Amino acid sequence: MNFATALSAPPVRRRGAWQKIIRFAVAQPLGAAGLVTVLVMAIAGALAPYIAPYDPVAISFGDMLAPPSWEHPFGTDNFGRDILSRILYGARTAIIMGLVSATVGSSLGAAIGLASAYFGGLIDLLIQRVVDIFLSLPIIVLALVVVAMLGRNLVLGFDLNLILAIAIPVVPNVARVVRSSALSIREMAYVDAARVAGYSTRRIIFRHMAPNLMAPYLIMLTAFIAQAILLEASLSFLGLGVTEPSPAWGLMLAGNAVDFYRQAPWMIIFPGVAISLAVFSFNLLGDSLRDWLDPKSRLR
Amino acid sequence: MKRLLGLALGASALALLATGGAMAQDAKPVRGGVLNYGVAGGPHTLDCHGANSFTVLHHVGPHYSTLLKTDNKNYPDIIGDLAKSWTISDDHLTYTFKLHENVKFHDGTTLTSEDVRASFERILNPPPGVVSAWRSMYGDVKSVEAPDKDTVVFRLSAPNSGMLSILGSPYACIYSAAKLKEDPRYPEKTVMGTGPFQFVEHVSGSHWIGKRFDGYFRQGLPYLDGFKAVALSSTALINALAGGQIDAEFRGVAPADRQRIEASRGASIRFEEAEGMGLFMASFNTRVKPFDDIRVRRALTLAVDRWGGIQPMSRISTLKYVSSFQRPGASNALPKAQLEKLPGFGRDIKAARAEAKRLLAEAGVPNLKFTLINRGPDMPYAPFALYLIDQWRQIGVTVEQQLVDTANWAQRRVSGNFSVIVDVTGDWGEDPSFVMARYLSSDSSFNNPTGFNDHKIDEMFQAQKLEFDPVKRKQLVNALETYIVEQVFTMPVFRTVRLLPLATKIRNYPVVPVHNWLGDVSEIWMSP
Amino acid sequence: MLTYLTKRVFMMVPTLLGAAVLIFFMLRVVPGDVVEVKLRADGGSATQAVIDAERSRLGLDKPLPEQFATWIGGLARLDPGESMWTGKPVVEEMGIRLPLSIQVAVMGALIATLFAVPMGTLSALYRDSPIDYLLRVCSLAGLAVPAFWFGMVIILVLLWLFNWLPPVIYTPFLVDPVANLSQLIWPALVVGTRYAAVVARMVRSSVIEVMKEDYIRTARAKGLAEKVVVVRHAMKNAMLPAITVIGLEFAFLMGGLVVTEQVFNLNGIGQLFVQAVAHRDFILVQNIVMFIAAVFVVTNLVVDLLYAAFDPRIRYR
Repeated sequence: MNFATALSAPPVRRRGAWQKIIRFAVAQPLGAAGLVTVLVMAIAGALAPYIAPYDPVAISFGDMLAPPSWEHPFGTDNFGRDILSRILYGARTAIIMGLVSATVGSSLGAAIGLASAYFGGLIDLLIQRVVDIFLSLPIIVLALVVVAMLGRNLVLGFDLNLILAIAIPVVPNVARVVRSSALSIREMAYVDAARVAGYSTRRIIFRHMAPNLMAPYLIMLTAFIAQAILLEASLSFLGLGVTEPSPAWGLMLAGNAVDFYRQAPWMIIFPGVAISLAVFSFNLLGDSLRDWLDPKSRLR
Repeated sequence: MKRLLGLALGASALALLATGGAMAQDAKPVRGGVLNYGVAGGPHTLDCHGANSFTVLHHVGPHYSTLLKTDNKNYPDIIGDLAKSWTISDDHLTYTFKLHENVKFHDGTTLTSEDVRASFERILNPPPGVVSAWRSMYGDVKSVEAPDKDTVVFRLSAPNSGMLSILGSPYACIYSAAKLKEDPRYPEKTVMGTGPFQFVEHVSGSHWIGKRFDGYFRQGLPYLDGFKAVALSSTALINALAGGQIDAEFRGVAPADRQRIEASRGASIRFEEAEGMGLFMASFNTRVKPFDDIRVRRALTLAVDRWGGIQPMSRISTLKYVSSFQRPGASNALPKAQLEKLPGFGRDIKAARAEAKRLLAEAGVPNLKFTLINRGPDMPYAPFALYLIDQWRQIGVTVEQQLVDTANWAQRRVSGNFSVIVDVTGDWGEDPSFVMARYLSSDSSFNNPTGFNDHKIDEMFQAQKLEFDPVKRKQLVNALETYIVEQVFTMPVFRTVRLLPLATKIRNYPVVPVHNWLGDVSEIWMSP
Repeated sequence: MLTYLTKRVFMMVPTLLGAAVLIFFMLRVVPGDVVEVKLRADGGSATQAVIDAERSRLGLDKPLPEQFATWIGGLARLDPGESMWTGKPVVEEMGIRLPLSIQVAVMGALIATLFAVPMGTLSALYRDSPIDYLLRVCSLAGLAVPAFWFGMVIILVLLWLFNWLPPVIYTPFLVDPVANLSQLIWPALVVGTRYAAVVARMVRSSVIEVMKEDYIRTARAKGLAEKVVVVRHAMKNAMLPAITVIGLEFAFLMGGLVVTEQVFNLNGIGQLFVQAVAHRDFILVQNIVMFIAAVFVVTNLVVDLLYAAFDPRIRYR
């Protein structure tokens, strides 16, 4: 990612949001596909309580392992639970957890990176050391240990500690990147001009530096949402993430779901496809955003 | 003439059939072959005395002998392994064992009574650094003596009707006294015993190999040339069985796994089953409101439809039997008619649930809400908890499940950090003197997490321990069991099935309820 | 150059020390205790006295700073200690499992590089063409498919269609290459797919960047054939960022092996780590994490040095 080039432009002027989106869709058809898929999943997840045909946790021993049919478009699992409903509610879990963890992690990371870059000196050195320490630990290792440490803390049906565990590995990554881009902007002429003009530190950061970081931040955010969804699925698969009976895509593949692969392959196919589709769409969106926002490519 | 021929033909045909039938039945054991089996975990120690899990014995067991063992062909009778014969004094306080002669250790030395004495001494009075996990089970043993090289004498401080079973624990491996004197912790690092197989190799996390010990004291045994135990995770175990890379597993698999394995292996594998020893319960923390109120606990056990739920449960998990603390087929088990009178075990679920709602209202908590601590992610904990939660929902009780891993679960259980917790037993034997010891009052039991103290239970337990007449003892055990079920500080629900996958070429392996111990591996043979 | 090197090596120490402190204290907050799991989780009749004695023997009752000092002191003497679960030396437990994990990682890297470099280059050269779109979608798919699902599907397909399963026991390559490869090719494939996707994307963007450079325009203006332009001039310079990504991703791989080894039941470092956390074997977990962190930090250093060695612009910063 070439942030320096993206940020060499002066502060961005406000334009109509709708216009921007439509121009984006026309210029980047793949990205538009990604955006649409993401939106469909988000809406499906949000409306899950209204559109899901069954209660996702309702056990129905009479209906175990039923193949896809009109009554159960995606079939049922080994407890007789409707898989379509579980996928819909799972979309809710995945997208909310992905969004919240990635946003919390990126925001925190961005704040740390910005502070580090702006204040420089000893503060910068100290923060960088801590960031390096966290960066040296692999993401899943960090998440695993944090989950074991914090246990579960359910609020409104979502596990806050899991969100934290997934957000924590994101923070140092974002901090590192934001810091280096902020450092390059710091040298830019218009920041110097603002300082000379006597603007306060706060104003310089928020009104001048931050808007130029919006683009790379947004791109990183989509990438991290994708990563967060994947991480949550992996943790649930390992038994350390979302737990029964909450529906989550990774959880639907965990435990002895594998045992039924011959009798009920739909138990394994649909959750895997759902995870892949979600991650794929977010990545597609992020990629297209990046291509679109890179001025050099716009000039071609 | 024709008639005579016909008669002769018929007679010879009959004779052929008879001998053919006899041959098929008494197929002669064949020497040779290596048994490949899977174990759902590697051994965390090589020392039987410090172990309490099948993961250790399934690896280490074939290398050691014990003083007494369970006769798996006539389960649960106790027969001698190293012991040739024994006598019990009339006051049941002295047990005298005569040992087999010419028993050799794998290093060539000969076993004497001193080895047996030293091994039991190690269990009773472990030297510093040695973990004796089963110490409390031998509470009534005062001392062990070796008056001459073929005799071992146990002196008890009090009679115990389960003492023979206790002395037949598969965890009481006999070690070499000479080596113990040099280093009391040697069994943790070296595997050297008098068992039918000699240690060859162990690669941590991967596999364990043993080969036939030619100097084994039972002539002609073992039949197998050796064995290879492979440590695998549960899913990988089923895959390996399906793919033909291992031929057996000795803890047990689930019915769903069975279908998967059969689909791949067809006729080359068979499945044998017995009632298992895994009893799944819910334990209540009686120190915490409202579970200190017996009405609330009764209501919660009444709400669960055991008889109605066992059918579907047995299709998707290893839980196959409705059971109380004694296994349904055990000699001391409650007769069915009596069991069905106990709270929670009745057949009329409607009436039971109505009663449950009434009790909850009376106790002042009609819309009870609580958290169930469950252990995961292994099976069958997940379906068990889901079923309980579903059943409790039917009487208006809202339960949230909190799934924690084994270490977390073990700690919460012991520290009392729970209201209701999924609990399980996995005993290695049946005798009530140690199976029921768990349910003694919290201040005297080693494993009662509920905080429940009732000295009536302790007295009833003592009574059955001192009763040697089997009929009278059964009555006492039944009364004890009935009382515990009625107090509901822990509620038994379902019991597992021990469903073993065995390649058809494996012969002479009687399947018994207990899974901790592999059984007598010296008598297994494989048809070519 | 030497000063840069010394400076970087010095900076490694506080980073690793910090990681040690972090993982040590994080673990101590986790509820659960190795002795309880060993002796009481599955039944058994161990009394509180037995449990306390064992905890004392493992040093778990000492104050935390003392436990930390014992561990770090041991590390300094190259003695990471003994596993709390089996009592065997950490070096032995890890040593048995490292070759397998490293082999899977290396095989994954090879597969990735083999596929990613041509894919990324083609994608860049035919930018915005259908080939480019197809290859980009493939890389994104490689990134999106969860490793555990991919692995699961591979095993189930093998079982269903061929009734065959990869060998369950690890044999070193030199002992039996066929058995070794037939076991490890599948996890290497799973790990390599994701790896390839990341590298391909990097190769693509770096080739695109390089192709925009002035000297490429010059080479074309000189009249050189496009093929010569690409191979002789562009690729050399485009490879540097690609190599750095290959190196960095390798370090990330070691962490990603955790899930893959679970699915394929490989006796590697990743599975050891998961088991050790489940057992609350603090010493083993600490050492594995330190090892992975050290690999990561050293790999970063090597990659940065390579970059500095090949890109004069950086050397004189």
